[in-house]
Amino acid sequence: MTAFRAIVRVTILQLAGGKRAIGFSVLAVVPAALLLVAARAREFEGLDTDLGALLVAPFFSVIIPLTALILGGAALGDERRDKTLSFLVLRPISRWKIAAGKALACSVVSSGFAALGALALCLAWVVMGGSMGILPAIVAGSTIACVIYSSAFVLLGNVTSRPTLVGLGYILFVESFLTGELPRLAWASPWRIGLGATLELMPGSFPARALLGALGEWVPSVSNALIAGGATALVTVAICTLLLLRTDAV
Amino acid sequence: MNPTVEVRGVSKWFGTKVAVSDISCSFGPGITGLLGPNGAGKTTLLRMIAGLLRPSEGSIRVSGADPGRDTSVYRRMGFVPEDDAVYGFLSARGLVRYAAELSGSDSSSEAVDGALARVNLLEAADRPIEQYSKGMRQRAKVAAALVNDPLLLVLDEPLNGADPVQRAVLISIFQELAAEGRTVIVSSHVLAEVERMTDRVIAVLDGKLAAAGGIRAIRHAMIHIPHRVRIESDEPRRLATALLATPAVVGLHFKEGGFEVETSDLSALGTALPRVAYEASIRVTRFEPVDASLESVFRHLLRIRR
Repeated sequence: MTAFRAIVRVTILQLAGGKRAIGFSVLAVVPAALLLVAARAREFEGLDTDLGALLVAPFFSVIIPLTALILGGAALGDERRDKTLSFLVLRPISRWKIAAGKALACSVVSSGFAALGALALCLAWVVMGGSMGILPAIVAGSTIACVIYSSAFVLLGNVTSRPTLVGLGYILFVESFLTGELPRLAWASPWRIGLGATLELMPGSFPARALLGALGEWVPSVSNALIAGGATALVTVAICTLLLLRTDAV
Repeated sequence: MNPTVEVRGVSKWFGTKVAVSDISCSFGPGITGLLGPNGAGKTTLLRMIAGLLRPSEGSIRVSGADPGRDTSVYRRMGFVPEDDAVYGFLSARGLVRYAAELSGSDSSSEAVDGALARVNLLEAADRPIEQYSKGMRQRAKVAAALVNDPLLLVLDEPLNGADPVQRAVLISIFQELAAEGRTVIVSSHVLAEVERMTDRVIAVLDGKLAAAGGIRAIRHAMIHIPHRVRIESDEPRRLATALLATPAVVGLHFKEGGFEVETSDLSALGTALPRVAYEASIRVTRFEPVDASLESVFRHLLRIRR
């Protein structure tokens, strides 16, 4: 497993190093900052539960997909662009280790930034009079969403030279527009899956009703989310492995 | 002794473009220069040997195994691509360690430092590679290729971008590796560069094998193939008439204020011209071979092979 660990370690360095770390950290805390600004603007006195709950939704529907998209697209996409992929494939290691290592590293990094955002959101929530009790639920839900997005976008980075553009198209068209028109497609929306799991895990005091509106008809459970996360990761890693076996494409 | 790499009837085409056409050759211990002008098919051939490309036709065996299917060949193979393909955010030490871990070889500090020392990169080993000069990057890539103690080293234009001092360092490293009994394949489009490393060459042109063997044959061909030379002087017609009596001159025609001579012996013409010009009191203002490139030599060799 030395090679697998090495791929994960170097990919984490690749994705989370330098300016990227600053950029994604700032992006992750934007919902928390907005929450505080909006609360001040309303001259709130005490807990404005609906406002706080509503800001959890953009954290899931905007921040997590964007973070995972850019990181996932770069995990293998940067290797292709910089022509370093030969450094990986000309080794006595199975291709699945490369695909799985990339997906795992990307999941770890995007979940890390999401956890930072979740922490900031919870601190803002505490400032408004809420409790930190919502943190584990948001972290768990966002991690599931990050795993699904990361594994899918790592694959995307392996099949197109413009993963960010294609991924953005998916987020805007399928997840935002199409799922709004056809609620049955909600299963194809990772952030809804993560948010559904979060709602199930939230303490009873959290005003979940405001978020149910964001989810629509289908509210995935934690078990649904875990199955979706595991299945997506397995399928995308398998496809990515097959693509990496096509030597001429490297 | 069996060759380390055997290339049998290999062709490679991309759509309608034929990059390599029916090449058969072998590479054994020592340095072999893969020589040819840019676009000749060297990189495609090397990428097939490394297993990055699959031949459209024919077969390649590295230590008896198919590099496209059997990843175990990479345990003892090092590949240095032409592209600037390095992880700029890693240090050279990090890159070499990563290579060792991926290859399943010794990734201890001693092994990593040993590979870095071999390319004289120990002092700068902890700086990010993105801060390196082109030559230092090449050396970092070579160190990463050496860390798994390869029997076969495939180097695609490894001297590109390196300054003269770094070229000398890299060449001596390759020669040391070859002296240890490793098979080193070095591609280049510069004859003089290959000549400094080895006498054994495989020359390719337009995807075909133009020559295989000693570099002297190519040098000899460079002198003895028909050449065209442009000559300009204050009295071109009189000089041309005088030169026609020289045995080295095969043909001659006037062109834009001067004339072009076709010669079978470039050095003989070079010796005869000053004498003829002096005797006829004519001033020569220009003497320039029109087609003395390596490519023209390879084209000639290719014609001979046919």
